[in-house]
Formats: sequence, structure tokens, C-alpha cells
Amino acid sequence: MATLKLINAGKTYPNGFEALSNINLDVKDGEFTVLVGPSGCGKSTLLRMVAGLEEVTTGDIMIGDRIVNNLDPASRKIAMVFQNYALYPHMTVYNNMAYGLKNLGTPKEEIRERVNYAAKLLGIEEYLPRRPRQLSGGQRQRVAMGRAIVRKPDIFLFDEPLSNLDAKLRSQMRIEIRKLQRELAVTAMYVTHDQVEAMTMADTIVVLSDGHIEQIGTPKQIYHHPNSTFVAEFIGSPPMNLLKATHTGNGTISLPGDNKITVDRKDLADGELLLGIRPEDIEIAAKKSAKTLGVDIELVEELGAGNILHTKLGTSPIVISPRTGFDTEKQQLEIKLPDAKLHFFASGDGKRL
Amino acid sequence: MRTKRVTFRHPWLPYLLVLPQLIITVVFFIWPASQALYQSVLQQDPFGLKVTFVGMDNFIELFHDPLYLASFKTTVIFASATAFLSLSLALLLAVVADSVVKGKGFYQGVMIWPYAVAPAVAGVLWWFMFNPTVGIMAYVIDQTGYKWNHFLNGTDAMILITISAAWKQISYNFLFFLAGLQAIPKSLIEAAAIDAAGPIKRFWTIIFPLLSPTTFFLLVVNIVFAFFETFAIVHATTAGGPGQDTTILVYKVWRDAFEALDLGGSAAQSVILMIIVIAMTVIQFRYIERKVEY
Amino acid sequence: MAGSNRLLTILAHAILIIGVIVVLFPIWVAFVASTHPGETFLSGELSLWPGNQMIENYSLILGKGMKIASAPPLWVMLLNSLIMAMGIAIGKIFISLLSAFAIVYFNFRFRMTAFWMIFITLMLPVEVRILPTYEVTANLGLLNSYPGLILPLIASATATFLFRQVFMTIPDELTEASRIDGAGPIKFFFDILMPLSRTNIAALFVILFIYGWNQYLWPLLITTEDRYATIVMGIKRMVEVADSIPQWHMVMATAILALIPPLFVVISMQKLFVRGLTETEK
Repeated sequence: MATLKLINAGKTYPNGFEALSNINLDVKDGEFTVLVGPSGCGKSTLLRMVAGLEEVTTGDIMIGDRIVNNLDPASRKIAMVFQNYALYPHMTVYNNMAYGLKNLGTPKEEIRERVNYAAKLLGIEEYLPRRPRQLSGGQRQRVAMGRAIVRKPDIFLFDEPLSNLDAKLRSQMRIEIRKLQRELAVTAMYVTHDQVEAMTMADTIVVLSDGHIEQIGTPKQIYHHPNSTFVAEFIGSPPMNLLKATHTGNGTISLPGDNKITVDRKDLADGELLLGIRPEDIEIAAKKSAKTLGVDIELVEELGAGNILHTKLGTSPIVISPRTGFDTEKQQLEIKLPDAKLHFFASGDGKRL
Repeated sequence: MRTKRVTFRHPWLPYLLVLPQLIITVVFFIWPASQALYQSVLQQDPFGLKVTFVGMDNFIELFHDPLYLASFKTTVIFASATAFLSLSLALLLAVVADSVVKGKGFYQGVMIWPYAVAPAVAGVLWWFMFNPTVGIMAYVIDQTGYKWNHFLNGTDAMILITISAAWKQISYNFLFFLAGLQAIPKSLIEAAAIDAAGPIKRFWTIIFPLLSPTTFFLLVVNIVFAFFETFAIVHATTAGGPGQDTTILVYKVWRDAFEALDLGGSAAQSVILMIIVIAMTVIQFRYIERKVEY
Repeated sequence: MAGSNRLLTILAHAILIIGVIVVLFPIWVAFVASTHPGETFLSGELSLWPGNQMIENYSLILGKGMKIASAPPLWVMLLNSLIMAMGIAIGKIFISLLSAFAIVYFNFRFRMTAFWMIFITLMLPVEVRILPTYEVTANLGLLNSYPGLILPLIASATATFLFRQVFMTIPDELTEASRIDGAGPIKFFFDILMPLSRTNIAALFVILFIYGWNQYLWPLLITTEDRYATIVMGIKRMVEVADSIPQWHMVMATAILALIPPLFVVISMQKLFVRGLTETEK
């Protein structure tokens, strides 16, 4: 158990490509941190740098109070669960879990104890004598975790461990991993491109984009106060609506389709900006008024528990997931954008205003 | 060249690992090959007492030497006949074997036998069967009125080594054709069957074109085999005769070096052969690369 | 329709049986010839059925050799062939595994140089550089020796390429997992890489054994002493004598003995053999 600190960490490949720059991150002991971002954002590279599988070209990585930049993966007291599990196909489940301990010269008796403990914890005792290929995806996943657990690592690293599982198993494993991590009270770093995993599992989410950190925060902070349009669009499904808008002064904002609203934000500068609102924050008004906007319904997605409405405000698409019922026969709808739920972003760099 | 994402780092281990192969390669390949290159521009008297630099003379001389040109022609005839005979037989057998339900394993099991037989032994087996006095094949041919004698008749001798070489290559060609046939999606053949194409038409319009990459690959392999690996067949049976009628290029290289002691000439021949091998290898690699793109 | 299908099936089997006969006939004839007494051939009698001299012929040639050809007992040649074939197969696999491991799993200076030096051997079969290779071997004092028979034939780009291919298909994550598990390069090589390449090694072994056993020109050149003669080259000596005094039964017994070991390997390991053959060439 330990803290993990990244200080100005960066990675530039020999060919000059800068994969990561200026990464500063503080992971507390026992914290579950999720690195999330689209493919190619550098999240896996960052995880692999912590693991010692990629070199750190600038800055430092500290596990506990040791700088581990030049330490071998095996000496970092970390354990890693890979996307494709990376189980040794020619070894039994038992040997897969025991291999690392054997290499460390752990006494046989202790290896057996630790493997059995982990197997019991994961409910895979009966598979110990089997080979990986005789196991299902979920079972392999458990073995991969078992291999990590027996090492009693300071830090648990997960590289998209659930992406090879089907949807049902995935949501089940999500909960199991989280429970297990709490039970073992071990610091964890988890990489995923799936924002649902990030939201449901993380104590802290780190959103990465193009090799830098866009935002660090709790799931709530990230969801309700995205720092940029990138985070706003990446987290949440369906994603936040972003409308091209112009501030004409005194909190008056003109929207597509000759619509205007007034907001309580005197600090906004005049000119173009982006107005964001989450689909579930849009209210449906019973009747037209000065404070409502008229939208045309283009498509209704039925989800059973609710609906998703694809509508248009002027020429701009707006997605609404209404919290209240509405008249499905209607072609048009009056909506209200509650002041408190509006987000404003600069139209240039997309930063929050 | 592609590398692994993860590589190990070690100050001297990788050098130690490649060392054995590099030593053998340098000592037995690169050094001798450069020697051949070097000697090909020298003229040495048979006693090895005097060596003079002669530039391209050895090569020019070769291409004015009727014996060498004849040997070239012999090799081309031999290689094309061998490739054609072996490929067409193997293709026929593979297509038929692919079509039967029962006994496929048995047929494949037998077809691979000749691969195990050394070219020299294969040559001797056929040489015995065609022996004018005791050979069973010669006996059968005699019944038709033709007097078979590969000791005297150059064409007979050529047919003999061609059959030996083709027989030896059947296994290889058969296996590759069978693998190629099995790689053709069944749905394509079924579609052709629905289009009511008869088996022979189906073969020429669907199967043969789809097999063409395999055929091309095998063609190169067979030519390389006939050019270079048939030394044993010739040496163990006809010894290049009668006269020069079965003196293929590799055989001539050997004879000029070890019996005629014409070192410069032999080296020049080696160089020409190397160029041919390199050309073939390049063609083969082009093909493999193209195949990878599919 | 069903009737014509049945006819086609019969035709197919007929063609295949003819093919089988063509393939097996020479071997059968040789076997038959090796079981008859020598006089049979003097009289020009032809038989397609084994005679009764099988045991006599084989025990004579295996135990005492053929006096007229001053050939050594055949078991010596068989043993030499076995040593040569095993030496070539094991040697090639050994050096190729090591060099492929270095080329795939290490980033070192001269890596590309090493790669190209190995690659170039693909283009130079022993037949085309025969004289200078002979000279080098002679200068090293390796004529009439097992190393002389084996070493020049074990550098092989094909085997290195095959192993490179195999290693490339082994997922990177396994390497990473083993690094996290504390395995260095040597441990990784033995604990992970070798077990995972086992079938490929076995398949290649089958091919290389046959390659080594069937060598002809090279042993012919560098062995002048009977102690080192191999059976495939030895057959030539029998044949040359056979020209003047036909000893066909002995020649054919030699041929049969020369082809039995590789044939046995091919038949008993058919699956590995087919796999090895199709993989080395691709």
C-alpha cells in the first residue's frame, strides 16, 4: 500500500513524438484512480510508465517515497492486469499465479498459501490445475487478478481489463473489482476508454487528451463541472449538448434559430461562445412562454424506462432525455434551459468560462 | 523491420546470442561467396602457381563457350520439364484428393513419401528401373518397339533425370496444392455449383484462378529445385552424360572446379548462379509481400 | 445426378490409386530387387515379387559391407548419416533460436547488420559456392570430420526467419507480464518462449533431419575416409561398381536402408512434417 506521485512526468519517443507531457498527479493511499480518454490520448502509456514498461523521459514517478524511474518493473512492487489477460498459455492457473513469486525466491509453502488465498477470494480454487485455454473469459479475468493479488503489490494497475468481456459480465466484474480493491485497501490505477467504467468505479477520474491532463476530479466534479468541452462531451451518455451562441451583453445570449435567452452571468465577455447543457437537465415546458424555446422533434428513441429525443433548435441538433413525460404525438416541443444547469465554454479553445 | 514493443536491455547478451550464427555465416557463407566473386575475375594456372587479374574475361569466355551455353539450354529444358510435369501431376492428384471424402488421409500419407527420399537415392531408383538390361521400365518400353538406352541416347537420359526430379517434387507440390485448395472458401464452390458449372468448367473458371498464387509460388520453388538441388540426381546417375547431354549448370560448376580445375571459370559460373538465385529469391519475396497485403 | 456423382467418386479414387502406384512403384521395385540373389539380374529375369534372400542380403551389407566396392559396413554409414542429420537439425535450431531471440527481443547496435548478414545466406545454397566453401573447410582442417560435415550446413536464414515469425506472434503482453513477474531475458527465453515455440521447433526438426540426412554433394566432397562416409553419398560408390559387375541387389538394399530412416520420420510425424514444411516456406 502506498501513494503514487507523478511529477512533471513526460514521455517523448526517439522519433520525436511527444506521447505525454507535464503529467502531475497525486494518488492517495488506497485510492482508486481511473485514467480515461479516447484511444491515442496516452492513458495506456502513462500506466505503462508507472509499471516500468515504458521509460520516463522527463519528470519523476514516485511510489511511496521512492523515485522509481529507473527501477525494473519487478522491483516496483506493482502488479498489472492486462487487457487480454496475458496469462501464460502453457502453465496451469496455479503456476500462472505462482510464477512471479517463484522468481522472487519466495518459499514454496508461502507461495501455496498466497495462491490459495487469492484463489479463494476470487472463487477460482477449482480451476487451479487447469490451463488458461480451458477457462471462460470471466474466469481468465479472475486468474489475471489473482496473479496480481498474490504479489501483494503496493499498486494495482489495470489496463482496460474488461474490454474483452461481454456487456453483462463487464458490469458484474466492474463491481467485483471495486469491492476487491476496497477489501484489499490497495492503491489502484485503472485505464479505460469507457466513461461508464470511469464514472462508476473511480474515486478520482483523470481525463486525458492528446498527451496532457484535461481534468482531475471526483466523478461528480467531472460530470457537473467539466473544465472544457472535451471533458463535457467525453463524459456522459448521451453527451452534453453544445450550442453555438453569441453573448450580446448583459447576459443576453442569442441561440440558433433566432432564439434568445437571458442568463445571470454578467461576467461573460461579448461575442461568440459555446453553451452546454446535459440532455437530462433540459426541462419540458407545458406551454409556450417568453422563457421557452421551440424545438422540432426528429426522432424518439424508446429506452423503456424513458426516452431520448433527438430534436432541432433552428438548425442545431439538441438531444433531450426528459425527466417528465411528454406528449409523444407532438411534432414540436417547448423546452426550458434552467439557468443553474448551463455551462459556458470559450468558442476557441473550449475552456470553461 | 518490425520490432517488439517490449525489448530487453542488456549490454552484451544480444551480441552473444547472434554470435554463433554470425560466425558460421561469415566463415562458411560470406567469406566463400566473396572468394567466388574474387576468383571469378582471376585466371589461375592448374598448379596454382600463377594468378593473374583478368577482369570480366572469365565471364566473356563463358558466354562464348558452346559447352556452357549448351549447359544453360539443358538446364532450362530440364527445369521447365520438371516443373511442368511435377506441378501438373501434383495439381491433378491434389484436386482429386480434395474432392474425395474417404481416404484423404491415406492418400496424403502416401504422397509425402518421395519427400523423404534423398535426390541421389531417387535418381538411383529410377535409374535402376530404366536400366536397359535389368530395368522393368526399359523392358516395358522395349515391348513398344523403342530401344530405350539412357547410356547412349541423350534424350532418354534427360527424360530419366526429369522423371526422377519430378517424382521427388510431387510430395511438396501436392501438399501445397492441397493446402491451397482447402483454403478456398466452400461457399465459392457451392455458388459455382448453383450456377450449374460442371466439375471441369468449375475447375478452370473458379478453382484454378484462385489457386494461382500457390501455383506461382510452387513454380519458383520447383525451378530453384531443378536448378540447384538436382546435382545429386545427375551425379549419382548420368554423370552429365551421355556426352554433355545432361550437364546442368550446378553439375558443370562442380566438374569444372573439381575435375577440370578451371578455378576462374568455375568461380564465374558460381557468380552467375548466385545472381540467378538472388533474382529468384527477390521474385519470391515480392510474391510473399503481395500475399501479405491481401 | 446421384449416379454420375458415384461415377465421379470412383473415377477420383481410380486416379488417386494410380497416383499412389506411381509414387510407390520405384520404392517397391527397389525393395523387391534387394531381396533377390545377385544372379537374378545376370539372367535378366524381372520379378515384381520379393525373393528369399532378404535377410542374407541385408545382414551382409549391414555387417560386412561390400567387398567389391570396398565399402565399409553399412551400419557405419547409417550411424554417420544419423550423426550428421541430428547435428545439422539440432545445430540449426540452436543457433537460429538464439539469433532470432536477439533480433526480435533486443534493440542493439548492429541489429540490422546482423539481420542482413543472416538474410543473405538465404540466397546462397551450398551448390553455388561449393569450391570456396570447400577451401575454407579444408583450411580449417575440417575435412574428414563431423564438424566439417555439419557446421557449413547449419547456418540458415530459413530457420531464423521461422523463429522470428513465431516470436512475432507471441503477444507483447506475455513479455510484459513476465517482466513484472521478475523474469529477465534468459528466464523469459526458457520459461515462456521455449515452451510456446515447442511445436514449431519439433516441426522444424523433422524438416531439418530429412534435409541433413539427404545431403549428398557436401559429404561426397569433404569425406575421403570410410569412417565418415554417409549412406546417401555411399550409394554412388555402389552404383559405380554396379556398372561393371552388376550388384543390383546390394545397391537396392543400400537405397532402401538410406530411405528408411527419413521415411520413418516423415510417416510417424506426418502432422508435424506437413506443418513444418508449409511454415518454413511461408
